[in-house]
Order: sequence, then C-alpha cells, then structure tokens
Amino acid sequence: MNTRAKRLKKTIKLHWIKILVAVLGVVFLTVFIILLIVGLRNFFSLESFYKRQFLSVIPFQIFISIVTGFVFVIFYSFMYMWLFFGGGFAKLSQKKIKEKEVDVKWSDVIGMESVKLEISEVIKLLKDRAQLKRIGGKVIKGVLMVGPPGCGKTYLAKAIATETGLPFLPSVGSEFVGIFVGLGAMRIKSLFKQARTLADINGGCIVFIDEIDSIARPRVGVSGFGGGISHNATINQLLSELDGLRQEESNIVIIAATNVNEEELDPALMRAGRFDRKVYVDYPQLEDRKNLFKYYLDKTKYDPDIDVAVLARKTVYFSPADISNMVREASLIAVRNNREITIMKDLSEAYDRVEFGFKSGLLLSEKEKVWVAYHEAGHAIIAYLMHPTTDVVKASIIPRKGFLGYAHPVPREEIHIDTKNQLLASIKTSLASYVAEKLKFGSTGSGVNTDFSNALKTAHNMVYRWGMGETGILGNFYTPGIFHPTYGLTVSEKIRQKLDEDVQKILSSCLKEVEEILTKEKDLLEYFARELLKKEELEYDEIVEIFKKHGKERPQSSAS
Amino acid sequence: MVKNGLKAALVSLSLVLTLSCTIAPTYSRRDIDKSIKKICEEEFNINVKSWLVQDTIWVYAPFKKVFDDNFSWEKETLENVRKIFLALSRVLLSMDERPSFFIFVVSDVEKSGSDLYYIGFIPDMMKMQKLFISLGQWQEREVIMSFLNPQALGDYQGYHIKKYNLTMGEFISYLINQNVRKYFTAPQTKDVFQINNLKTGYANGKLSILLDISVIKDDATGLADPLRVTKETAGKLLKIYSDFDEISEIEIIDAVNNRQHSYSKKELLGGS
Repeated sequence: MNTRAKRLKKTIKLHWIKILVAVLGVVFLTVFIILLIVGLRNFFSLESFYKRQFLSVIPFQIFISIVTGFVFVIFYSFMYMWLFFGGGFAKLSQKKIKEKEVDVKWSDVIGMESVKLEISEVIKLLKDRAQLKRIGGKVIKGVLMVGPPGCGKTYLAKAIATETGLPFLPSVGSEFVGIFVGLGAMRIKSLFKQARTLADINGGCIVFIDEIDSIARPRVGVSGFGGGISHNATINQLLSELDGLRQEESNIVIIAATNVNEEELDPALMRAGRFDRKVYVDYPQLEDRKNLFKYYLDKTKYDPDIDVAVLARKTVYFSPADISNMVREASLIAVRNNREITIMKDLSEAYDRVEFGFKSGLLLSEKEKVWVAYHEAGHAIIAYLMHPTTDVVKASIIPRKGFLGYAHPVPREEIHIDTKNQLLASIKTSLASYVAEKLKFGSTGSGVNTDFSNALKTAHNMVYRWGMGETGILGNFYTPGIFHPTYGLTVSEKIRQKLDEDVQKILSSCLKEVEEILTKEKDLLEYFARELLKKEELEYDEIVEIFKKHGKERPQSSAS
Repeated sequence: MVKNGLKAALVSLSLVLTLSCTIAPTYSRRDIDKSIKKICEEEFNINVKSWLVQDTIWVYAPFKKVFDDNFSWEKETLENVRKIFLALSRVLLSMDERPSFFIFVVSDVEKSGSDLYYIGFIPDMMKMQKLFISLGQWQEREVIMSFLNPQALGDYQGYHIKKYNLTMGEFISYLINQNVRKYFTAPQTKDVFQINNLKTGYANGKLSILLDISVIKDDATGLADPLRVTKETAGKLLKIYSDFDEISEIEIIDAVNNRQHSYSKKELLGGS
C-alpha cells in the first residue's frame, strides 16, 4: 500500500500538468453537458411563441457571427501579412523620396573633387547598364562611403540619386534597431521589398543607409537574455538581401555611409561582391575648402576683400558642415552688428564659435588672468619658434567651453605623416605652459593637466608604437597579440622599463630645450603675456607682429 | 479556420431551421377554452369559465367583490384580472388559428351584481404583445363596457351571459360609441356638452349611430361639434380596420337637429 501510494505520488508529480488538464477538461465537459441539458429542458418547456421568439434570433446571431468572423479573419490576415510580409511597423517610419524631391545637383557637390571623380564612375555604370551587360561586366550593387561626420556623405548620395534620375529610399541604421527581436530584419526586408517595387516601376532605385554601423557591427554571441539575436538577424537579413540583389538584375544600388573604420564593421558585409566600391569621403583639402568657402559665401552678401585662401588655411580638418556652419554664424554675427555684409571679422568670430564654442562668461580674478596669460604665452612662443608645421592663429584668455584660455595651434596644411621632429615640437609646445608658469611664478598650477596628458601621450606613442626612443627598441607594442585589452602589454619588465625610460627621456629633453628657449626669450614671454592681458585676445596678425617686434621669425616648414 | 467556421454556421442554421419547423403550437383552437381555464386554475388558482363561440373566445370570471365602496378596484381582484389577461394572451400567442375576438367578462356576483366587459380584436392584442403597436394604441382599440346586472348575482357559471360571435361591424360600432363618449365626457368638454343618448349598432353592412348630444353652455367656440367628432372617430377607426369590408354605409341620426346623415365608407376614409 505504501509502495502504491508512493508510485501514485510520483506519477502525479511527473504528470501533474496532464492530470490537471484532464481534470479541468472533465469538469468543463460535465458543466457543459449539465448546462446543455438544463438549457434544452427549459427551452422545450417554453410555449411555442417563446420558442419561436428565441429561435428567430439565432439565424441573425449566426449571420452576425459569420460577418464578425469574416471581418476578424480579413483583419487578422491583413495584419499578419502586413506584420510579417509587408513590413509592418517598419513601414510606419519608411518614406520614399523621388528623384525630383531630392534635388541635389551634381554641381552642388563641392569640396570633394577626388570623391566626385570616383562616384561619377558609379553613376556612369548605373546609367549605362545595358552597355556594361553587353561587355559582360557586373553591375555595381553596393557603395560604402566611409569618412568623418559632416563631410557630405548623405549629400553625395542624394546627388547620385538626382544625377541617375532614380528614386531615393533614405534610411538610417538606427531605424533598423527595434525593441522587438526580428523587427530590424523585418524592416530591412520591407525596405528592400519597397526598393524592388520602385525599381520595377522606375527602372532602378537607390537605397541609402546612413550610419550603417548601427546595424553592421560584427555579429555577436547570443547572451543569456537573447541579446544579439535581433542584431545578428538584422545583419543576416541585410546580407541575404544584398546577395539577392546580386542574383537578380533589379538595378538597385545600396549606398551606405559610416563614420567608423571599415574594420569595425562585420567582415561578411565587407567582402567582395557586397559593397563593391568603398569611397573614402575625408575632410576637404585646402583647394576644396577654398571652393566650399566660396560656395557658401556666394549665397550671402560678403566683403569682396575676404580672402577665401586665408580662411581655407585656417580651417584645416574642418568638414563641409563646419564650413557651412561657420559662414552661417558669420552672417548672424553681421546681422547682430547691423551690417549689410559679412566681413572677415565676423568670420573670425564665427570660427571661434565653431571651434571653441561661445564665451562662457566665467569671471577670472586678476591673479588667475595673469597666470593664464603666461601659460598661453608659453604655448604660443614655443609653437611659433619651434613647431615646423603648426601656426598659432589665436591666443586668448577669455574662458570658453570648459577651458580658461588657449593658444590655438592650426596645422599650416594637412599632415598625413607625423615626423619625429613634428612630434617633439608638439611635446615642447605642450610643455611650454609648465615652463612659462615656473619661470614667471616659480611654481606651477593644475592648468597643465591636459598639456601633460598630450605630451605624455605623444611621447608614449613615439616610443611604444613608432620606435623613436633613444635606446632604439623597435616595434609597435600595441599590436594585437602583444597588447591585450584586459591584460595590457605582454612584454618583459626589462623592455617595459627601458621603454618607459625612453618616454621620460623624450619629455626631459624637450622640457630642457623649452626651458632654455623661454629663459632666453624671457622678455618676449613678458611682452606677449602683457599684450594678452591687455587685449585678452590676440589674432594671428597681432601675434606675428609681436614676434617681428622681437626680431623673431618662424622656422621654415620641415618634415625632417 | 474559415471552413470550420462556415461549417459550424451551416450546422447551427440547419438545426435552427429544423427546430423551427418542428415546433408545434402549444395550444390548439379546439382546446382553447380548456387551456385558458387550466392555466388560470393551475398556475394562478383562479376559477374562470371559457367558451369559444365561432370566432370569439369568451372568458367569464366571477368575483365576490370587484369594486370597493369608493368604486375603486379591489386590489386582489385587479391582480387576478391581470393574471387572467396574461393567461389569455399566452394561450393566444402560442396557438394556431386564433379566434378574431375575445370578450372577457368580469362579474361581481356577490355584492353589486354587475358585469364588466373587455372586448378586443385578437390580432391587435398580438401586435401589442409583439410591440408593433403601443399600449396606448391598444387601449384605444379595446372596448370596456360595464353594466349593472342583477342576474349576475350568484352566477358563478356565467349563465346570464349571452354568448355570441362578435363581428367586426359590431366591434367597430362599440369602439365608436366608446371613443365618442370618451371625447364628450373629457374634462374640457363635459361642462359644455351633454350626452342625452348615444347608441351605435351594426346590421347588414350598415353602421347606425344615434347621436343626441346637446350643447349646454353658450360658449362652445373652438370645440368640435358632435357630428364632426363622430364622423372623424368613425373615419379613423374605419381606416385602422380598412382591411375589413363588412361596413359599407354609415348612418348618423342627429337627434338634436333632427337630421339624418348617411355616408359611404369611402367618404369617411377620405377624411370628410
């Protein structure tokens, strides 16, 4: 009996859900049968009039049920199709733009001549598909535009759409990230479905995915909570759609834009056949910047004496968006000053706003002002006298955007390779503030924090990455395998010690050199600081004038 | 899913149709008197008598006391009268080949010796039950007559009731009498007019009305004259029952002016 009871208990424990369901089923059935019997008995006890009255309602109820059922089935089917095949929620945020609505002409694309050359080939291929097919060439399906933000990638994509006369489907990578798993993939599917339809109607279509890095980061392992499933599904869907395009001759071109390195994107997306062309849309070069200034200034009224070449030289590493912003700011400043036209001073002020932000309104004590003035004077003098490639275009002791003053160094031209000489000059420029404070006040302040960081970082890279240390140890010690993100460098303590010694030697020698120069040029330091205190801001011409007064000239540019 | 739904709908519909076809009337014309009696006795514990005379069902309900000393309904009697009406309407609703008229007589067999007649056209009653007409409309089409009748005293079997088959002509004549009388005894007219005599009758397609209503107050401006009211009432009723062509002529004898008017049914229906 005891064994039976135990077995029964175990069986119940094992099959309790089935038993529960069965018991509930029996209870439900019994209740249903009882209710049916009671209901029928009551029905048959009714007089004929009331029976008929009751029955007369039933056909109508059946009719209503059928109609409701049909409506529900149609609605349900529609929702199902819409959700799973028609794009669903994805469609809500999707819009198609016709080529007429884009309205960015090829001639409007300025400041990226080399890129334009590259893209014009793509456009030609899109226009001359038939010719390409005749000679057996493969049509370009994907163009990936890589480059810093604000350099005109979206603008370029729009211009392509206008030039080819094809409908333009813009989207942003973040649109494909949804709270539901699979929503991203669904949106990709919907986007390409729409693109195919448009291509069928218009003979082609351009799909533009901005910030593709939002969805095209390398696929990840699925975590315990399902994180990563959606992301992986989205990339997989994108890959499969791109493959689909390769198989079908639907004349759809995907233009994607990102401002991260292509190495940071999923390798499968980057392989040949998916994004056939990679276009690097970088910051505009000197000539491009001149054109950009001319283009944007031409849209305003401005002083004909403004030299766009000067502006272009001053705005190294400015994106077209920055240049546009600068000209717009200058116009606003001109209006505020009741001027009909924009003058160079407005542009200079606008430059400061774009580069350094608005004046913060922070009030410095006289003592602090003096301190900052000598600090910035040190930077300016060493940069002017020792840096081969950088100009100090402005010095200021007016607090802005979190810093109390600045001596703004601007490269005379785009630098693509940093030589040892340049790097040392940069370290010296950074350390100059420290030396200046020490010379003047016999003490130093916390203001050197960022300067020291910059100097140490540069010296560290020189030794650890570029083999510029005195001991002659070579190699990039940040190569994967030697450097681990968690465990750090995997080199011997001895090597590491030598490398660190090299770093300190660089810093020491630079410091020594700066001390010598500033000691020698103490009068210049005093004069510069006083001028800065007097005027609070010194423009490039004023800076040059100070140096000229003291018989100093900039060294010639040298990459050695 | 759609297929199954349609199947279920078809099965249900067939079941309903089959059930509807197999529903036999609960009561038959042959046993109508017994059925009314049975319901009243078994369900309401009221003794009634009932007879079917051709196309008229008669119900006789004797009560010891119908009205109290103030000539108001005895509460218990009134409740019982309502129950008898309910039994009557239930039987009439759930039967085949319904009679055309009912005449329900409530008699005070102990105290006053009086008879109260409720007469109605059964299709009207059905319409009222099915809410095709309102209770107010029904009340306008129901004849209520009361008589003092010493023969009623002690008559629990309804011997003193002369049962006959009511015709539409007679029914309309009763209705005209009741509605004209009601008009001239209403608060706004009772002090101006005096009903000396008002009789209605029907025979051989002719509806006769003896009208003797005189004006007893000089200022009768704005109030309709008796002849016009009678004509309008007759026209209205003939219109309601226009499907019945028993009545072809209406004769109104105006005893006050000593004149006799004769109208065709068509004339009265035209609203003249």
